[in-house]
Amino acid sequence: MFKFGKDEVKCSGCRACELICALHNKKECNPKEAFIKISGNFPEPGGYDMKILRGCTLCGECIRICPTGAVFEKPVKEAQ
Amino acid sequence: MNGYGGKILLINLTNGAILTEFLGPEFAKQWIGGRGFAAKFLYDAAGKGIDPLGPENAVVIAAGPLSGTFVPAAGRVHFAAKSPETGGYGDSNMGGHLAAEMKYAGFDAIIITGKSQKPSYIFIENGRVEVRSANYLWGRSAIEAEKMLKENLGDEFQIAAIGPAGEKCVSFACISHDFGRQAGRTGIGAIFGSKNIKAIAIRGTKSIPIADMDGMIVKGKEIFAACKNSSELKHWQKYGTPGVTTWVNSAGALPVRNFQTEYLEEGIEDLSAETMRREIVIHNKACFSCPMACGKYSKVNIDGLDFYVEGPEYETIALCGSNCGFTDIKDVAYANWLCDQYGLDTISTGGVIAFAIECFEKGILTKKETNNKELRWGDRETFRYLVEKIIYKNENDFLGNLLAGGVRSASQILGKGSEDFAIHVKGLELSGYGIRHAIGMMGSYITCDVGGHHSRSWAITFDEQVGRGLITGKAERDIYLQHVRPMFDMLGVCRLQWVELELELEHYPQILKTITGIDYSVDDLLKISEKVYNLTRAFWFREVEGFGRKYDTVPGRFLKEPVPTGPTKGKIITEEQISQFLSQYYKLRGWDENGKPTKEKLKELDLDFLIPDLY
Repeated sequence: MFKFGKDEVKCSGCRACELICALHNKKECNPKEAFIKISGNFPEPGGYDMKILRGCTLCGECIRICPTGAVFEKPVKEAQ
Repeated sequence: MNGYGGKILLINLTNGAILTEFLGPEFAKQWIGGRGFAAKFLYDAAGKGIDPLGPENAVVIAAGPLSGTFVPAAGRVHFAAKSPETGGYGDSNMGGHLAAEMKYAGFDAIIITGKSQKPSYIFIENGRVEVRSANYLWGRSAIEAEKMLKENLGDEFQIAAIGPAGEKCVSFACISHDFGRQAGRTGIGAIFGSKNIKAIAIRGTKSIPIADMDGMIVKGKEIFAACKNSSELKHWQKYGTPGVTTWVNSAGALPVRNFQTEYLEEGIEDLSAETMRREIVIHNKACFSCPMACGKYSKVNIDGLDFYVEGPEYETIALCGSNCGFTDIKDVAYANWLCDQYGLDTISTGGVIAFAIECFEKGILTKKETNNKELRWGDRETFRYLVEKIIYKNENDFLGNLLAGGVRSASQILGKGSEDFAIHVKGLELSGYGIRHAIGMMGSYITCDVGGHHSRSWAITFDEQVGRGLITGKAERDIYLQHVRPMFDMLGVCRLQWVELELELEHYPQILKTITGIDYSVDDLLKISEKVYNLTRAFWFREVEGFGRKYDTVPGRFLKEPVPTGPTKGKIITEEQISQFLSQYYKLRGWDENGKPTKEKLKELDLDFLIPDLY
């Protein structure tokens, strides 16, 4: 059993996680159907916010696709 | 229709007509999408001989069949219009998230014609399309306008906006998106401005239909894994395009002080990717679904003020940096920030400002024209002064109007030998590679279908590999690259994963098949890319009186002044080299000795409809 850990400093905002989440869980090529949501903080101060939404199936696809390790597995007792 | 949004949006701003047409499967198969759609729609929509800044010109914005799907870096969108800077075919390809959003809204292309009576922006939310007042946005910077639209409409809207440069129809004004991505080249921003369009705001909530969903997921994961496994990935994530700066300099190909030389003897460390990363980068910033994240978001403090900017990219470092005499990455970031705020292409702006400084150096421009201001290399104040002259020009302002047309028109007005150091091809300022000892890269520039730009063919590494002064094989290589690289622009994905992470080309038709259900080979796609290249070449012949071989040439400086310093010292281009290269190039392409596609070539490529326009 795990929960998600996130490191927003590492997130580059590519939204591959949104894409694979919607594809895997809903068979839709449509990031708006995803259970993870990335939003930018531009022009100031820069960087991204990551939110795991209700309905997340803990399938872990976002962890496997993320190119930067911004979303990762955490054992339950350590999860925040 | 699998892989596509399925619809084309046509907006006539003059009469307010908004039409939606279904994308025809046969049309899609013939032109693929992105650059293919943009070039064909533009050729048909912008009639012969139109004024680029008149209501008859069209702006086409097109996504590709891979845009918004499960492919690495599927975020490229293509803009095309008759260029106000060159008078010929103009286009610019941009990253970010706009292409994906267009597809989710159901549109593969947007074709805008006419002129709005008052400042407006185009609102698109799925099938709901409106032309709305932009009075409150007019005069705002491109970045500020994007921020205001997102605040008003919602963060999920993807915005493409112009700054004051576009509003004033500066010939090298760009389109800005995602707080730092640009469709920079050929003045598409000026076309928006000429139509009174400040921005486009798009949100889509639909799914893209996929022919073989499971197949796409499996293949997509394979390509993502290939990117992750590339030994180059970490380097690109860390440094982005500035990673090439020191290499280009060490190869003696970095533009310095208006291409007076091609080597920076002192200060290259302060412009390097390592210095940039250490001193100013605060975050990586990726385009849609891109594992490379080559966008670098930076913050610099100048005289107590903080400036946030995406970049500088390599081309900006070269043109707004060393080419304008800067050797401090913070100064380049500031110059980049100015261009982004005002909505100017950093490549052309760097070229124009360097040209102006050299004119001043040579006494062709004097303090009389500069309000007593001294124009100096490597001077932030000079850069800011000239940018603001260009932006805030009024009818009576000689210097601002002079420079706003780009270096070709400025040199034609000034004369006195300035034509030789107006560094452009076909009116478009050169991007960041010196070519006095790089025949392949020279060929890339002189045969590029938008003018002096590197995007179609980037052959400098091939020059290095096989011998820079060698002519044999260079035309062949340029043509190959001119078909491969624009193939990505048709598909709506970035080419850097192929160029830099060495992904195999075969991945692309394979995943395209899972998405569209249509079986293409790499050769099929390259043949369509060749077709588009011939179409854009025909556009030049149709639009520019007397167009032909004499336009495929280099600035006078490269023929008359040997490189004075660095590893390419003493090198120069000769007319004979250009002539030899072009004869080989035209022959390989099936063009005549004047560079015009032959009837036979046009028929071979199913471009028969061009024959009446060309013959």
